[in-house]
Amino acid sequence: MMDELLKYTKLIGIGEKMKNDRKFSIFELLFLISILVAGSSYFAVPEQHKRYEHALTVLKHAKNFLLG
Amino acid sequence: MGILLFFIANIIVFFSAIEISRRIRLNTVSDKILSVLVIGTGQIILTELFLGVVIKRLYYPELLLINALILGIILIINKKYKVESNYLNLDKAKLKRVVLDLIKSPLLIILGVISLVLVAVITYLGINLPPYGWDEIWYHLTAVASWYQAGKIFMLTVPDIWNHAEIIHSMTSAQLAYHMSVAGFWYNVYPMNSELISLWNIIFLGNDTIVDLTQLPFSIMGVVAIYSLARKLGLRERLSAIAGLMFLVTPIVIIQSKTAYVDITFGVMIITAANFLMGFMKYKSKYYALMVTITSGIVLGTKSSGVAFSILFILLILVIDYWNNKDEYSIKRFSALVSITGSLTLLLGGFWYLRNFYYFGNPIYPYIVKIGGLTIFNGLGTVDGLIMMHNTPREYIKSSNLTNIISSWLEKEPYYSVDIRKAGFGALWMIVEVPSIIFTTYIAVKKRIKPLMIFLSFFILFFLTQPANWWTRYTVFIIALGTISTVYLLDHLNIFTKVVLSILIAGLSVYTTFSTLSYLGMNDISYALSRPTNERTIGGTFYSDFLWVDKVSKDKRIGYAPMTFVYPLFSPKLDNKVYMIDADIKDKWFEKIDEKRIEYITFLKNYMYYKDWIKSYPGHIEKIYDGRTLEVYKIDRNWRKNEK
Repeated sequence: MMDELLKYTKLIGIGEKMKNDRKFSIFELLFLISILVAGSSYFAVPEQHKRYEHALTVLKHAKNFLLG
Repeated sequence: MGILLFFIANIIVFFSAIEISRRIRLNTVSDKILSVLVIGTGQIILTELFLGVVIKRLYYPELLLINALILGIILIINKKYKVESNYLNLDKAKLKRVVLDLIKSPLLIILGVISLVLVAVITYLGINLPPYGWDEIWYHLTAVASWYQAGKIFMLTVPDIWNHAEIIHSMTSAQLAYHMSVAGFWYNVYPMNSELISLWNIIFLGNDTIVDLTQLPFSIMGVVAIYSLARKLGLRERLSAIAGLMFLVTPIVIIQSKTAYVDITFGVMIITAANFLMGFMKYKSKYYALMVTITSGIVLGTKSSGVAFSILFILLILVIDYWNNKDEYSIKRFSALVSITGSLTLLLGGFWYLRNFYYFGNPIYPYIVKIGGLTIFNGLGTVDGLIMMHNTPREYIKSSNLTNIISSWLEKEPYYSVDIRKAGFGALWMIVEVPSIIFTTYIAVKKRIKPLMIFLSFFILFFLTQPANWWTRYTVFIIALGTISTVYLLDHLNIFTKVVLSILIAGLSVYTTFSTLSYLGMNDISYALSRPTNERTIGGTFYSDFLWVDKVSKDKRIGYAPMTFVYPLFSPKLDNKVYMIDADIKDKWFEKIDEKRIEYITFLKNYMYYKDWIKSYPGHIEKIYDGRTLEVYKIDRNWRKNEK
């Protein structure tokens, strides 16, 4: 998986940097897990869906407004 | 003509602020820019206070003249006592290198584009829509419009109920809070430095076209302040710029940037003061302490909670000064520093508290001040009883403060709004910035990185100092902690996590900006924008109960009995003369209507007795509007004359 990742990241110029960088440690793992937990807690709130839908409606209005 | 005057006035203040800043030797370009912005703001506040309170001639020619005089005087002083001619002292080669480095960052480019779009949208909305936030049409702009018309800063006429101590002291805090929210009161007791900036945006133009953009420059100033803070922690320009721009991508910042509220100004001034505090620690220069004090004065005069912050800033200056000069510290040094910082802070923000003390015998009226069991200043009630209990969401009342903070950060409210309570910081804050604060704190403590630990402690201390810190609009300053912690990690994580984090920041910035759009729909903004330009008034768009104001021709004398929203009565060009008409008995009320030669009288249909009283008015009246909340009567003044 790491090789695959290196292949893709090479495309945006960081592949070499990754090879030479320090190892992925427990600190990074815990940080990513905490982001995952925070993200799932945030999007688990039902109001996020309402906000998202509402924003879509507003975008439609905006499109109509801009296109006359 | 108005636009030209406004432009000239701003140029004058800008150059005055640069000339004053030349005498304050700060070390970095971003600190120098912040110094110009803080001093310019301070100059506007002080010149308006001088003209409005001392001279009592607060009109645009006098305001222009006094600022031009200041510019002239400081130019003469600077010529006599030489100062460095190249203020910013930019190293062109370094600047080129920094710019080239900045444009290499895809994340910075994405944030930059989002920020530019946001500023453009906010500016467009600010110019094309009238003010419609509750607090601004209730008290912020009511005070501003009244000062503008009178040419002075004065106590507005308050409803008669506040003249009867025996009645108000017999009320429960719920009854008091109700009367306070309906019967205008706050414009006479709140500190109003930020409202003076709103007045600046009206006085030269003669209308309120851009008054709703009062806070936008402060939002942009927040970007610079965060950049500057991040640089002091040793972060590179690129990362510091990312931290700064992340501040703009926060729903409450985006939304409040198009208002004449005060929360952004307050929050950004706190971040700026923190930046100068860190500068004072790092460079040990008295000029940084001076800038903390000036900024702290503006904080004090912007919001009542500024009292706690300004005391805290002075204490921190004293602690840092002691730390920097442990060996030669003396009582004399301590006394001098307390006197200078205290008096300068009071000069820039103390007026409103002195005014309260003069009129009510309590600098923070209407709040009771108690130390232990001893009442130091008497008032109408506690902050909790008069404000918080009635503004706290019901489910928050019985929960712990920590639970409430987390609930607000998880955004359990489906739409954003100017006054939002259960949301406001967006997805980026909760998902990326909050975990980053925790992990950065861990690094700071584990590796004992002193500047980082002090920075984190400052902001945690500020957060704990702010009452009701679950309410996001009260704690705008804490965003700096989140954005700087995030970029600190960007600098210290391994490359894989760094890439993941960068992608997350970019994606969530787009998402947060997009979801903030829910705010636009909630306030029917698309409807308002679809109206013809001349119909985009407060009555023509958001509050139809004020549509009648547009229909009566200009320069009218409008009277109102105690009611919440007064500002719409002035009209966008502020050409109606608006008077509070109140009395405890009917005949006195009629006398006041006649004394002020009122042509239109309006009142709330369900508040007190005015609806019954008007029926027996001894003159020719005609009901011209019977709306959802208001009734309006036209009074024929010629009829009264003919009768006599």
